[in-house]
Parts: sequence; structure tokens; C-alpha cells
Amino acid sequence: MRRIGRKEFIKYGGGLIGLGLLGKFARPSLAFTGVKETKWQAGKEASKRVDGAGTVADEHNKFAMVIDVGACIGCRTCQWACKKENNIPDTVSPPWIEVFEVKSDVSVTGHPSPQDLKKGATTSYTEAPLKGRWYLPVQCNHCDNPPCVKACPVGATYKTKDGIVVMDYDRCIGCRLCVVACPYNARRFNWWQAEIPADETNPLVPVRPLGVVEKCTFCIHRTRRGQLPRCVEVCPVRARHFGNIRNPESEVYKLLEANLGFRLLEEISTEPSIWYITRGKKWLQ
Amino acid sequence: MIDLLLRLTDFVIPANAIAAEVSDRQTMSGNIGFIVLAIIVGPVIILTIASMLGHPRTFRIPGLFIGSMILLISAIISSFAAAGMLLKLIIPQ
Amino acid sequence: MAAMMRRPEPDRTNVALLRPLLHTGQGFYFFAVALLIPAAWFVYAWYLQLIRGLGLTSMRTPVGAPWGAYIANFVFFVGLAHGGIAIAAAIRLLNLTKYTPVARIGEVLTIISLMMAGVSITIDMGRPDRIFNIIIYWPQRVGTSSLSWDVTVIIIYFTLSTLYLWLTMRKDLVLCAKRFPKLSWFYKILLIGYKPDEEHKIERMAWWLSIAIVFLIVMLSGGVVPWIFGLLPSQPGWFSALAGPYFLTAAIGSAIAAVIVVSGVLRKLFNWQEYIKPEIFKGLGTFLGIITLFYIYLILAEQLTMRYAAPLSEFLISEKLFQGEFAPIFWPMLLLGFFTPAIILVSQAIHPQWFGVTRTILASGAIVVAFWVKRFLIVVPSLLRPLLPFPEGSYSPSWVEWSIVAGIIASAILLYTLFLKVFPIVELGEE
Repeated sequence: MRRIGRKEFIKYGGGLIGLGLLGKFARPSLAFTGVKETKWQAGKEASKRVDGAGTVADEHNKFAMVIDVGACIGCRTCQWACKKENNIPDTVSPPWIEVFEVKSDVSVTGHPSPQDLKKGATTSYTEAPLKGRWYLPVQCNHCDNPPCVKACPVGATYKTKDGIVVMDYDRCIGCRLCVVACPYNARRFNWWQAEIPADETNPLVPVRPLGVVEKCTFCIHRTRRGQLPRCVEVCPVRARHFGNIRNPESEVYKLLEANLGFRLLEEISTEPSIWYITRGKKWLQ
Repeated sequence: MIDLLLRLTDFVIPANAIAAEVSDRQTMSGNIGFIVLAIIVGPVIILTIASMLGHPRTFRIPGLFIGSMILLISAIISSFAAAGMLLKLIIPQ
Repeated sequence: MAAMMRRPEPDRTNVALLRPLLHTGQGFYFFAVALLIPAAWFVYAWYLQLIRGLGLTSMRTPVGAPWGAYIANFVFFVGLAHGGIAIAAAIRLLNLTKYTPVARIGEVLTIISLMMAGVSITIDMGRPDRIFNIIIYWPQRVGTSSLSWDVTVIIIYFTLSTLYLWLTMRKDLVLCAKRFPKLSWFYKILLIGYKPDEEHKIERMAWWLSIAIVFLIVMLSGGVVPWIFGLLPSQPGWFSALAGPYFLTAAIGSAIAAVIVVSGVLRKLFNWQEYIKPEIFKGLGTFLGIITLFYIYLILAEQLTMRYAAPLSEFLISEKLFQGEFAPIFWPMLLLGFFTPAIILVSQAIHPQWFGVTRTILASGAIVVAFWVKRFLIVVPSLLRPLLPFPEGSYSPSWVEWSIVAGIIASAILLYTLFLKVFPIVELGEE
């Protein structure tokens, strides 16, 4: 039997009743096991949708990030580069990436006081690296089973075929159900109107309007065009790796083959796309 | 500190095999809402129909009922639209 | 109807029951203005929030609570919406005719509360101007989004309870149309297609609709509303199968308490002592006492589960209530808001000579307040402690949030007062 691709199928069968049902059988098999397309992420709308920065998902890709916690020195360069790259206003604090400072007895340190937090301090201090500290960068995990996508009442956030969980800022109603549904607290909300000087604005990334939710996009405007996400690009110790996990030749695939990786809060079975490994040597003993 | 320590163990324990298998099945729950709503709305529809049938066999009141139900629901939905349009004038776009 | 027939002079009864429509004194205007002030202030606060953003509230994310007083208010009002219709349905299904005088008092409470719940959720939204998106994308999202289920079920519930009120009020509207020629055009619109023989059919329809409404109560306050919270494993303290029964009990408890309070106030205000009899307060009060005790049992079951051998995240949420920052409201709520009133109400049932209408009303008032606080304590503490090691946030509503919550409550009372001026709030007798 000739298998027809999903896009083709939709083109020819657009008017048919029961399209969704038939589409299920016409789905191309995925090479990478453990990745399963689901109804709500691959509805007919998602496949047609043009995501951020006018790009469309390439079905052959499945983006993933590998973060080497052993190498990370907690410099927060990724945090600030991300902030500049993605036009994150100061009022969205912490920005999309947060770096936790972890003591070797696994207690989290380096949090500012509640008073500082009220004054708008970011939630982590930037003095790093400290002796005997580990650093754990956290951002949107681009889950394969994303609770935020399930919860959204308007489909303003959705999972694309290349594994990115995208936000549609023009559709979001700001109910923040996705914010409470996300176990990683990766989502941010525009409590105030964003004010970014025009000369500091990245034209590839929309400045978010008041009252919508935003989060890490895996730098969709870069990665869909073959570039690395900004946080990966700027990491001075190469603690971050990014690539197509469906490709066995890719760096991320090989890293995960060679190292034991873990993901955050696996017991909630969100199937994150960010793996953590501890390959790197500690820079201080 | 002990609380943080225990909290952290939550996310450094590697995945177990079961989680990977089960979550496949879990992700298939994209239809669950239809089941939930069928369970909720189904009986309501049946009971509403039951209320209209039976003695005395007049269909004036049921007709009025259905008519006003449609009217009310469309009024609610159009009030959503109206509220949205009104608020568009106020909220900075 | 039978209960009404027993009264000797139907006309005297009707004149008494139509008192709010017949007389509009200075007191009314004073009261209305007193309510209009917070309502106007609420509109102003909301306007500020619309143009400046939700930053004016003290909600924050990820450190802090992304949901707060508005959502607590939403859950509270959805809960309140269950008393009247539940009582009305119980009267019809179980033949409890002695409660008929308070049936409509509660039905109106239902409809107004639902409106206020809708207002609360709209105010909580970051982009209320896009509210119609919920309808546009409903077909795609209803498969998984618990919020879409909520919108669906609340719309159905609102429609059915409004129609129920309308159908059962029609025979009274005939009397009103006769008595108040000035407003008769309005009553005539509502009496469209009226024929005197319709009562039998309406009785039958109301009986079946009661079953549908009782079912919807379970599925709304014990279903889709708690499922917004209970289905999310991301928030310890919410993720629980108990959420349904827990919210349902709270809803029915708060609603019955509110019906007692409203009936008591109306009874004093309009001298309806002989129509809304003490037995009604006694019966409802006893039921409320039992429900509240049952709710305390549910709190015990919940907290024990969170403390005995639960994941640490659960325990820490419980700890927030027991000795953390929320202890100063949790313990008074539990002891003064639930336990003491419940004991008063139940002891009244055991010792009839201890019964007092005022005491019942005061105890119910305390329970209503406690249930608002409880909703706040359900929504907020879980949100302040993320699963990942973010620093712990804090949340106490800002002046904008308090103004809006107070304004919504004032608007609810105002709407209720306006209803009193136009419609008979107690079922009338034959003329």
C-alpha cells in the first residue's frame, strides 16, 4: 500500500468528513522510538500552522538539547544572551532560562531574599563559579507530552512536529492555566507592558503584547533555519548541546549514547526534550 | 535544608523503564474531553428531552423552552463576542 | 401549591409577599447607593488593570502565585450557585413542600452567582478582549482542555437554571402583570405564549429538569471545576481524586449557608416571619451543620494524606497551612468558620430549645465567609512552592484585587436587590 504523507493527505482530503480519523492511519512512522505524535499536537491545524518567525516545522527533525551539568559554571551567559535574543523585558523576571546553584549536598543555594525578589531581582544570583557548587540551568523542556498544551483552552500553545512547544502570542487569552499546569515553572507571563528600546529589539522575535504567556522557544527563529539556539551558541564552556535527535549522527544523539542522561521530574511523564548529563570535569576541586 | 535535599532527589533519579512505556499510552488521551463531556451532557440532554415528552401532550411549552434555550445560549455566546470587542477598545493592543 | 392553599387569605399573603415591589422607600435608595459605590470603584479598578496590566495585582510567576483571589472568587461563586437550585430541585423531587418559600430565593442566588463567577474569570484573564477565542477554538480544544469543559458546563448550567426559574415563575408573573400595569409590558414579554392551562405541563417539566440540574450540580462543582485543579500533577496539594467530592461538599455547604443568610435578611427586612417559618431555618441549618462537619472530615482526610507518607512537596503545602504563613487564617477558618458554627447548628437540632433563627443566620454567615477563605487556601499555597527549587514566593492580594473582589460581591447584592424590585421572590398564592 502506498503511504501518503500527512500534508498531502490533508490537501486532498480536506473536505472529507472523518478526516482526523483517517489521518491517523496515514501518519508516517517515526524513526525515533519514544516519540509519539498525539492527536492534539498533530491535528490538521498544527501541520498547516506557520509558527514563529514565519517558519514551518520540518518533519525529519526532532530537536533536543543536552545540558552537561558537570561542565556548567553557572555564568548565566545563556540567561542574558537569551534575554537579549528573545526581547525579554525586565519585567519578565527571571527570564526564560533560570540557573539554580546547587551545593554538593544537593541543597539549593544562592537564592536572593524575599525583599530583593519584591524589588524585582532575578531569582538567582550571578556570582559564579563558586567552589563546591553545581549549576543547573532550567528552561522550557519542550515536553513530548506537554501538560501546558493539554490545558490550553484556545490552542495558543502547541507541539510542533520538530518537537518545539510553540506559543501563539496573538491567540493567547492569558488565563494562565498553562502556567499552573507546567511542572517546571518554565512559563512566564507579561504582567506589564513590555518596554524594549527599538535599537535593542531583535526584529526576528516578536515583542510580546501585554497579558500573554511566553516561554523558551528553542530559538525557533534560529533553529528552524539551521542555526543553534542562542544559549547554546554563547555557552563559554560548551555545556549546552543542541541537535536533531532523530539523526544518529548528531551530537546530541551521540552524547546520550555515551552518557547516562536524566531529565527533570520524569515521574510526571512529560517526556522532556532536554536531557542532563554529568560528563564534564568540574573546573574546581 | 532537608526539604530542599529531598526535593532535589525528585529530579536527579534517572528515568525508569516503566515510565517510558506507559507515557506512550498516556499521550493517547487526547480524546478524554469528549468522553467527559459525553458523560456530563448526555444525561442532561436525555433528561431535558424526557421533560418535554409525556402527558399532557402539548408542545407549546416545550417549544417555548427549546426556543428560549437556543436564544439564551446564543445570547451568552454573542455576549462573549460583544465583551471581547468592547474590551479591545480599552486594552492597549 | 398545596402549602399556599392552606393560607386563609391569599390576597393578604400576596400583598405581603409583593411588599418589595409595592413599596420603595428611602432605605432602598440608601442601600442601592451604598452598593453602587463599591461597584463603581470596582469598575475603576478593573479599568486600571485593563490598561496597565495584571501587574497591578500581586500575582507573579514563577516565584509567587500565578492565580490568586480572582480564581478563589470564581470557585466560590460557582459553589454558591448550587444552593438555590439544589434546594428547589430537592423540594420538587423529595416533596419537601415546607421549603417552598425559600426555593426562589436560592434560584436567583444561583443565577446571579454564576454571572459573578463569569465576571471573576474574565477579570483574571490577561487578554479578556480575546475571550471569544474560547468559543472559536472550542471544537479543537474540548478534547483535552479542562477550561473548555468548564465553559461548556457552566453555560449549560446557567441556561437550564435560568429557564427553570423562568418556567416556574410564569404563574406569578401573571399576577404581577395584573397588579403592576406600569411594568406589564416587561412581564408580558416573559409571559410569551401564556395559557392558563400550562401549569401542569410546567410542573412535569420542572420535575425532570430538577433531576438534570441536580446531576449538573454534581458534574459542575464536583466535576469540571475541581478538575481544573485536581488533574494537574504539577501542583502538589491539588493533584487529588478527592478534589471532586471536596469541592462539591464545599459548594453545597456554602450555597445552603448563603440561602439561609439571604432568606434571614429578607425575612427581617420585609417582615415575612409568618411566611418563611423558623422550621425552614431549622431544617436547612441542621443540614448545613452536617455538611460542614462532613467537610471538616474531608479536610482531615486530605491533610492526613498530605502529611502521613506523602511526597515531601505535598507535606510542605500542608505545613504552610498548619504552621506556615497561612496558619493565621487556616486555624481561625477551621475553628471559627467551620467547627464552631457546625457544632452550634447540630446542637440546635439535638436540643430544640437552643434553636434561634438569628443564631442560625450568624452561624451560616460565618460558614459562608469561611468557605471563601477555604477557596483561597486551596488555590494559593500550592502555587507558592514550585516543584523545581525556585525560591518560595509569597502572595497577598493587592488593593486592586481586594477592590475587585469586594466590588463583585457588592454587584451581586445589587443585582439581587434589583431582582427583588421587579420579581416576586417568594412563590405567590392564587388570587
